[in-house]
Amino acid sequence: MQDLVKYIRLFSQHGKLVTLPQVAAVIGLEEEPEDEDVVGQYVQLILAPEYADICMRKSADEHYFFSRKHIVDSYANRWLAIRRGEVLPTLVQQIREASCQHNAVVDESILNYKPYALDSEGREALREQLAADPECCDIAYAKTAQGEGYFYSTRGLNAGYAKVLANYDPNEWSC
Amino acid sequence: MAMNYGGWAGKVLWVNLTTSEIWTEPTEKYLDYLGGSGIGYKILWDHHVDGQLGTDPENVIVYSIGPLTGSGVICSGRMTVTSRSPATPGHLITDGHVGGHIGPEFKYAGYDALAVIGKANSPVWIRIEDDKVSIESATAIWGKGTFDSNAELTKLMGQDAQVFSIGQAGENLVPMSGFMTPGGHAAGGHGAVMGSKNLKGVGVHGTGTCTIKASRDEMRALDDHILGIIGSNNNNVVPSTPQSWAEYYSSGSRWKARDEIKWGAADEPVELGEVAWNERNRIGYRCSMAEMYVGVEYTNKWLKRMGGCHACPIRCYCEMKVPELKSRFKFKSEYITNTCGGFIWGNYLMPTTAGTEQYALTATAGAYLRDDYGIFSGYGLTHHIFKDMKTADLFKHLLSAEEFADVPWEQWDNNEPEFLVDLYKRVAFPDSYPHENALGRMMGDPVSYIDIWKLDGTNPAIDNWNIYAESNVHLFNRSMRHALHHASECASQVGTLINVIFNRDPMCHSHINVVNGGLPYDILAEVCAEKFGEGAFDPVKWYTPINQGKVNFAKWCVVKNVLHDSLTICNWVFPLIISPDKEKNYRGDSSIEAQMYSLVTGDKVTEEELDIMAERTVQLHRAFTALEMNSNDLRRDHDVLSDWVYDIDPDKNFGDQGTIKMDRDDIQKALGMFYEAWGWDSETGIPTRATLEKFGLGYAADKLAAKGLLPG
Ligand code: SF4
Repeated sequence: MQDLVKYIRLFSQHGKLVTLPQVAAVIGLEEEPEDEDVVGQYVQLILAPEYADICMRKSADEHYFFSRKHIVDSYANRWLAIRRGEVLPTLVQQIREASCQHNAVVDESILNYKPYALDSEGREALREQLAADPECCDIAYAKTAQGEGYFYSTRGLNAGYAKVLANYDPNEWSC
Repeated sequence: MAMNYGGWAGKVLWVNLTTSEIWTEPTEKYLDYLGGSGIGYKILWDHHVDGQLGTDPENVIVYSIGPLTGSGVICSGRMTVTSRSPATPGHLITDGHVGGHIGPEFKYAGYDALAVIGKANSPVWIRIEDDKVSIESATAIWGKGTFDSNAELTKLMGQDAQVFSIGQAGENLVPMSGFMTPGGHAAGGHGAVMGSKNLKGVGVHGTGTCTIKASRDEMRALDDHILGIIGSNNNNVVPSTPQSWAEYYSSGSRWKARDEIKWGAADEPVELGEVAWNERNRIGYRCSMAEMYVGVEYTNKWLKRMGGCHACPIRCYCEMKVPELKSRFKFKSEYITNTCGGFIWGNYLMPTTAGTEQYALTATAGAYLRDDYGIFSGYGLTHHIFKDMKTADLFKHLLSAEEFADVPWEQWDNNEPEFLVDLYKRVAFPDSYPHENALGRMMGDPVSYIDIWKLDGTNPAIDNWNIYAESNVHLFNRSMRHALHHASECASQVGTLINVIFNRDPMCHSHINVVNGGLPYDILAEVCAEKFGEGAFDPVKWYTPINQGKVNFAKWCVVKNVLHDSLTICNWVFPLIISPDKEKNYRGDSSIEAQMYSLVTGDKVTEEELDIMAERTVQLHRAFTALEMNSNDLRRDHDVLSDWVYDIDPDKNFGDQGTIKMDRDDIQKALGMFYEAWGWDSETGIPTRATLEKFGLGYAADKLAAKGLLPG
């Protein structure tokens, strides 16, 4: 497993979590890594301080690896959830966290970036899903004065203040 | 304090331009004031003359550094300039700050400060090569801009020297003027002081070192610690787009590196990619913030690399290669380097739209012209005044018909950056026009023109237009007639109080380096509550009444600001009470400055002890303000805000969501609490004798008492 660490880190640098068989395939390893005791191998690996950045997550019965030097937990969890097809609940959770905990709206533009990385069709489909899902009736969507979309949860923010936050530019008055 | 400490060079260099005398005095007598602003204020106090003007020959101008300058500790490249400033009402004392490499060079030449008094008979520059100091003729460069002047001084002294000079604005005694070093580093407000002395510039070459008491390993460990908690410019600790290594992002963050941004004008274009907080060997890419000034498209075309000051890993200066500067504007060079306001002010003045070609050209051509002429804008104040008055169509009532016809208004109307070519010439050469050139004079001396043109709501010819009622003008301190600089719009009463007590815009980023750091509100509020008390930091545009936490926060910011300008380190990054490290729960370390100081000087101090030394300078500054204004009530005479601060958003009340509106009674209460926190008289805001004596400033108390200005 030690031989694969540098590749795990490389994938992480590009925002990707990987399974060991995926790494093996990409680097052309003839023998697939044993998957039987992957947890044991991982525990063995991170006992060495130089590999302490390597993290493991189980998702849909597969073990994924990443380096915490390049990927934080929240990103890893979202990445895995999106890979499991849970795009809508992932976004909803992010919006609720932002509005209820951080006093913030969520810019629609985050959907352009990893781990969502949606094109305009995907974004529109997601907005439609949101609007149609009764579980998401607290999630609102609006546009800034510049025409940029943003989301917020009415559990944490009212429409007026969400608009203030969405249009706030910290450099408007002073640079 | 014996002079066997590391850090300080040990001498203050004096030059009398009237008598051509040159001498030194030991720094030792100033050590209680640390350096930088501290030395500047102490020297100015010792030479105070009632009613003196900044342009009087006997006014002293002090260029000073501190024990950390040039030591190699992170961001220790700055220099302070202190003098009476013609850009303030009554020519009160102000200090400006310049980065680059000039400060460290003073240290290596063996000086902690250069104090200049008197007036030369003809244009001169001061040449400093270690112990060899001479006054040289500047006749050959008088009349030239700072670019040519600095190039000529560098040619005369050699490439290892560091230089600075004034442009034509300073020569022509324009109050809103400053000096420039090569590389876009500027200090504003004292260009005319230099001009009045016939002092065109200064060149320094030192072959010495900065003595450091700690071992190399100790210094290295400190660097490692700082690199583990430092953010980008303004200590922004999150990237500007969602990135896998960061839990949070903020679109306003100055951590711009990402896949879409490159140093496109580099000989070999550099693709930056994402730069995670723990990639220490790529910190220099992290900031790359030219898109704030010219947009992404022109960043990728024009940004050559990032530059900056001595020992700074953050590199906030955008070195740009803009072919249009030569091809379209016929400037001598296609290169322009600057940061923040240096690029921004032009677009405060023109009716441009961000992201357009005009916007990018206005930013760069405007920077080139202001830097070359050595024009100061008072944190954009003159540019806001112009735009607001132009938009209200007031100039036709204020300029003579001849002058009005002479201004190429259509260029402004058509959004052509060429308008700046015409306008800045009017500012830098006020006397070169067949008419009064009131427009150029106003842009160069707004403090006087508020009275001359009666811009205070008492001129019926302009429908009683009131500059103090116009939020777009950004004039914040009504008495000092200076612009806001991270004031009530930022951190409510905290920013307000910080913007009240100085004589010019405060240039304080201590609060910004926390509250604009990019972390979510709940984390920042928690950090501020831990450090300053509950409720110290309000949510965006949703303010609460004054409380002790906010007062503590504001006082801490001012102390750290003056500390940085005295040590000297960069207040555009420090203090670091937040960090990008999730493992540290995003906490930084506010004792970094004390650690730096202890290691470099060998004088082991705690954070509290060092802060007390910086506070001494704040106390002296406040006593000095009362003395210079001959005021026994600074609340009434100095700490007065413009009406718009209270009257903005007429449909909202203070405390409503969505407004930065302040409340008159609340601010009066806040001032009282602020005064008490400093040990000033709670009514008049003047330091009491007990406070001054506590800081070893009994001499200041005596002087105020003798003038009848001391409270009680
Ligand atoms: S952040 Fe900018 S101003 Fe501060 S030291 Fe670095 S380059 Fe200089």
